[in-house]
Amino acid sequence: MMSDIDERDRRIRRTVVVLALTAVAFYGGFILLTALGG
Amino acid sequence: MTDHTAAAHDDHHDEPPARFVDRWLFTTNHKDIGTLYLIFSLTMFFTGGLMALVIRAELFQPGLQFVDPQFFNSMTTMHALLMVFGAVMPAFVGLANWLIPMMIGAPDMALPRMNNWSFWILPFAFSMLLLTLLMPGGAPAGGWTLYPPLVLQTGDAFPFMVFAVHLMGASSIMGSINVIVTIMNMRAPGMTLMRMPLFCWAWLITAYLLIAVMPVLAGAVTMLLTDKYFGTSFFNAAGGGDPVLFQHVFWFFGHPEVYIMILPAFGVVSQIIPTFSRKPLFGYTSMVYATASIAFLSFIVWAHHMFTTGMPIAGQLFFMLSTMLIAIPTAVKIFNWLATMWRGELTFETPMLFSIAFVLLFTIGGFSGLMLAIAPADYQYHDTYFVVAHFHYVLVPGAIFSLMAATYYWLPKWTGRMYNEKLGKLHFWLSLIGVNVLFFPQHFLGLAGMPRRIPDYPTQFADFNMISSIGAFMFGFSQLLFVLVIWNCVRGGRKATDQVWDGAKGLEWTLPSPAPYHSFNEPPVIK
Repeated sequence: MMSDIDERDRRIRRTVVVLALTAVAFYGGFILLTALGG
Repeated sequence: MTDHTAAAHDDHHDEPPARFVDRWLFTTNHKDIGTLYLIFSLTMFFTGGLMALVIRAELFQPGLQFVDPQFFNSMTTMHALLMVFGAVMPAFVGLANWLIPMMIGAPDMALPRMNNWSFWILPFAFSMLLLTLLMPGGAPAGGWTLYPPLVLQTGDAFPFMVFAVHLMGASSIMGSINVIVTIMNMRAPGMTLMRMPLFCWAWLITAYLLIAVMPVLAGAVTMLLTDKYFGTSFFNAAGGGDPVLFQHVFWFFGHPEVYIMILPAFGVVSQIIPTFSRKPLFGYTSMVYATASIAFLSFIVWAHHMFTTGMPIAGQLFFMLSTMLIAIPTAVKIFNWLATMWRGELTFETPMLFSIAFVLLFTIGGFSGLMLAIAPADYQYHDTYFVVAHFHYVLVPGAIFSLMAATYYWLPKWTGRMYNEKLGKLHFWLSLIGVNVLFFPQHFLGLAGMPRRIPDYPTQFADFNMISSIGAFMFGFSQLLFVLVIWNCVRGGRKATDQVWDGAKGLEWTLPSPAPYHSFNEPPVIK
C-alpha cells in the first residue's frame, strides 16, 4: 500500500516531468515555428 | 533506542554544517540557497550599477568624454543583461527560496538538490558574460534585445553570450519548476491555495510564465548561433529568412519577462502594506485573479514593441488594445493597495515607505506605458529616451524598490536582528530623490527626440542630461548606505522579536527570529 509520502513523491515526479516537457516543447516549438515562418 | 538515535540525528541537523564548503557549496537548505541568491544579485546590482554610472558619466555633457562609442554600447547592453538576469530575477528567486517554504509551512523546497544546481549555474554564466569585456571585439554591444543582423557583428564574445543566456535560462526554468512543485505539493494541511499569502500566488504565476518563455529566448539565441556559425538563415534575408521574425520571437519572451520582474514585486508589496496598515489585504481574491489576468495578457501584447516595423493596421490595433487592457487588472491592484491603507492605522517604517513609493512611482511607469501603447503616438516615442524613462520607472522604483522593501521587512526574521531605522529611512529618501532626478528628465529628453543608446547628443539635450546624471550618481552612491544598513544589522543590530512587526500575519512570523536552520519539520496546524 502506498503511503502519503510515496504518493506525494509520485505527484512531485509527475509535475516535474510535465513542466520539463512543457519547457522543451516551447523551445523546440518556437524553433520549428520560426523555421516554417521564415 | 530508535527514538533516541532519531532525536540525536535531528539535533545534529538543526545546525548548519560547520565547514564553509559544505555549508555554502553543497547546501540543499532553502534558507542558505536564498541567501546565496540574494548576495549574488546584490553583487550583480552593483556591477550593473557601475556600468550605468559609466553611461551617465559619458552623457553628463555633449561630446565624447570617457569611453569610445563601441564600449558605450557594450555598457548599455551589459548593464541591461546584468540587471535583468543577474540582479532582479535572482533576487526574487532568493526571496522565493527564503519565504515560500516558511509561508506555506513546508520544511524546504520540494527539490533541494536541483535548487543548489539552479543557483550554482549562475556565477559561471555571469563570469562568462563579464569576461567577454576582455575578448577581441569587446563585449556584446547590440543591445540586450540582441536584434540581428547587428548582434551578428559581435566578435569572439558571441558564442559565450549565447551560452551564458542558455545557462541563465536553464537556471530560471529549474528554479520555476521547484517553485511550482513546492507550492502544489508541499503546503501544510489546511493551507489551501486561496489561503496562501499573495507573495506565493504571485510567484506561482510567475513560475508558469518563466517555464513558457525562457525556452523561447533559448530558442531565439540558438537560432542566432546557427545563423552565425552553421549557415542557417532563420533571420538572414539573403537566405530567405526574416530579421523582423527575430523581433517577434524575442518579444514573445520579452514582454512576459517584464511581468516576471514585476509580479513577485506585487506579491511583496501585498505582504507589506497590510502589515503597516494593520488591516487585512483588501480584495484578496481579486488580487489573485488580477495577477493571473496580467500574466495571461502578457502573452498577447508582444508586438507593441514593434509598431514601427511596418505591421498591418489590424495588427497595430490588436496589439494597441490588448496592451491597454493590462491597465484594468493593474488598476485593480493599485485600488486594492490604496483601499488596504484607507483608514488603516498606518505607520511608516522603511519597508512601508519603499512600498508606498512603489505604488506611486510604478503607477507613473504604468501611465507612460499606456502612452507608448498608443500606436500612432509610438511612432514619435519609439527608441527615444521616453522609452528608457518608462521602463526604468517600472523596474527601479518598481521592482528594485520592492526588493529593498522586502529586505528591510524580512531582514529581522532572517538575521534575528533589527536594522537601524534612521539609516534605513535616510537610504529611502536619498533613493527616492535620486531615482526621480535620474529618470524624470528622461521623459522630456525622449519627447524632444533624443534617441536611446547613443554616447553623444546635440547641445539642446545638455541640461536634462546633466540633471539625469547627477541623479544617477546620487542614487548609485546612496545604495552604499543599503549595504551599510545590512552590514550593521547582521553584525550587531538590536535583537528582533519573533513577531518583529506588530501587524504582521503569516506562518513565517510564528517562527523564532532568526528563523531556525530547519523549520516546519512537523507541518503546522492552519486554522
